[in-house]
Amino acid sequence: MSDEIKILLAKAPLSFVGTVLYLDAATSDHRVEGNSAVIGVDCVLHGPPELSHLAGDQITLRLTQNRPEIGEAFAFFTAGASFGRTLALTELGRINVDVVEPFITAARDAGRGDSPFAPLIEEMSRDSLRRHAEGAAAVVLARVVALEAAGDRNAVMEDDPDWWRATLDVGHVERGELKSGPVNVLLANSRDRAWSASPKGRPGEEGLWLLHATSGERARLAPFEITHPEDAQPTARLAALRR
Amino acid sequence: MLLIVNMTPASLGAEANQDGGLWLEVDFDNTYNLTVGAQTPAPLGESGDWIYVSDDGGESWTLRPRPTEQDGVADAAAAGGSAVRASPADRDAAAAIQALDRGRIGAVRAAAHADGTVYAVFRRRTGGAFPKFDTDILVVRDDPETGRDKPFRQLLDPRDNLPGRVVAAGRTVSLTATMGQERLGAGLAIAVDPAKSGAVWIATCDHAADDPGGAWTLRLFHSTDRGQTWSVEPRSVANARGPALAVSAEGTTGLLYQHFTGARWETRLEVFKDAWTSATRPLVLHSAPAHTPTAEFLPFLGDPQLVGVGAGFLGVFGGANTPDVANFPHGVAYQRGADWENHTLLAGDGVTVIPPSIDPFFFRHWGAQPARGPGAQFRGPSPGRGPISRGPVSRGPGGRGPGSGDLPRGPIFRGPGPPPAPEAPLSAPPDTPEPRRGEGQDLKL
Repeated sequence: MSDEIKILLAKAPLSFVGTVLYLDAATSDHRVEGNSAVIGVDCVLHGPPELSHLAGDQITLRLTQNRPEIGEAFAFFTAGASFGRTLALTELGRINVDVVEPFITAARDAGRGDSPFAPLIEEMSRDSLRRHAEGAAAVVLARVVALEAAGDRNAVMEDDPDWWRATLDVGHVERGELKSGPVNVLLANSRDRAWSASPKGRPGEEGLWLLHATSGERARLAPFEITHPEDAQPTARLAALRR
Repeated sequence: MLLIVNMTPASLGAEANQDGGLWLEVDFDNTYNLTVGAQTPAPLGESGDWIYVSDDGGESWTLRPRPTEQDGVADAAAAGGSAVRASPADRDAAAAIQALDRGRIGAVRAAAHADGTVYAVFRRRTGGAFPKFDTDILVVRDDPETGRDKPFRQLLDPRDNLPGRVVAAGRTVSLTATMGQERLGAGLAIAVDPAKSGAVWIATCDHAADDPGGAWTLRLFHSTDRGQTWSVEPRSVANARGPALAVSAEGTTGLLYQHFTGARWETRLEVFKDAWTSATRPLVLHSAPAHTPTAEFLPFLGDPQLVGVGAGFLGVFGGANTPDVANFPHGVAYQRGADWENHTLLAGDGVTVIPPSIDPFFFRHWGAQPARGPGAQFRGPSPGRGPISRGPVSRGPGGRGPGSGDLPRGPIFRGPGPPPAPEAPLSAPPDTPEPRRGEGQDLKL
């Protein structure tokens, strides 16, 4: 059953236990559609922090599964449809409440205040990191020992990545054809929104680095680049890669 | 009248994103229908763009995914999306300017007239290196009767006979330098008079190349001969950025910009009927400390946008959302929960305090009353207004559920009210102007 939930978690950014209050209805600021229902949210199972206060609210749900009965409760897996005075969601999946009860109970018994699905989400995060690492040319433990501007001085737009070259002192090679010692990598130093999540690298920063081979013009600046947010990880994250 | 609305919906009362970087799209067949794009991420982290949509002239807003062609929406304007950026005509214009190969720096801004005339303004690099450049400001024009194989060739520089009339020379920009946490960029804006396609305004923000220590200054230029000659207007503002320009159907010119006082960002609107020949007192729409919150990325506030509608203007801007009466000299209506006595934002539970962030704000000025123009198709009752809506009673902004009882309801603060209205009619004019797609919008290449 965990696998079924993980499949739902992979596609649904918000899940909750809710009770069907009205069918063929919508909360007051959303359009009534033939398959919409008003659901009372009993508890949030997972989702962004912004919606952690949803319990007790009534939302509009655009149903995509079998028509439920008024008064029935389910664990709904959903995506956002419209945010107004109230919230409208689209159903992506639905499972019976007794399936998720063990997760809720386990979280409560462990005194955890996070999502009942947190262990599953952590597993999925590790899987994601492993998949991303498989696409890397090298995976190393290293420390930033030097930084210098390396970019195109003829760039003409505000959102230019502003390439900088970092020298990493590699202490351990987990994967890839690389030896310990210095290696040059490109970092996007721009604070533009397009690059703000890219690793910046601070002098002396140590960590687990997923190095990707450069291509084209950038290959003349350095053999590797680090631009994806997952390319820089805490050193302790190496254990997650090995499992 | 002046209406200002914080657009963040009540159901996203716990969000704390940096939601500047706005663009505004008006449905000129029914100006109750408005669409605003922002840097706002998908609230649940989904992929795709999300947009703010209003069907009541901007008094209330919902956030929803931008429809795509896959959703059966054929044209970009109906998609509520970047019609300016996505329309074939504008794509052609952007590509054409790129093809001019004039050493462009920064974004291109364009303004289109209903008669088919299109103007575009951009900076040509004359010196320097990233991120600081010396530039000339060039304007190009495309006339409706000319062939499309060589667009934007109507205004030539007499010095080299290449496309691009020099509006101002020797201006320095620094693409990544910041002021009050905001990137200075290469600020440009352009607008054409909807009644006279030969009358064009340009606003620029930069400093003189021969005065490297000079203030970052907003300046205005005006042409009445289809861009052949330009005059420098007697209006400049030091330490200003993000200019936006528009001309109303009555020929009134609006200038929207953000002014850094040294400690605060003020979003100001200036409206002129007489080509800036008289002194003016800017309307301060919003004023807030420039260093709260801390910028997460650039742009911090983003460029404001202004559109002429009827006798007035509609606009959007990004600003700090701390609910403080002092920040809104002309009042404001918040959709999200706020405690105005303690100057705090509140989550949907009406209790949890949310840190300040940058929110999108909409405003409607003077005669810009929403209207359904001739031939407009009334699109039926708005969601929730018809008899088919059931379920919970609408709960006003300011909190929901337990704990919200002490919070004010409805538009939380309307402030001291707008200054006296001019004699211009507040009701909709008999005719709505043609859409001026492209006016003052980015054409990033």
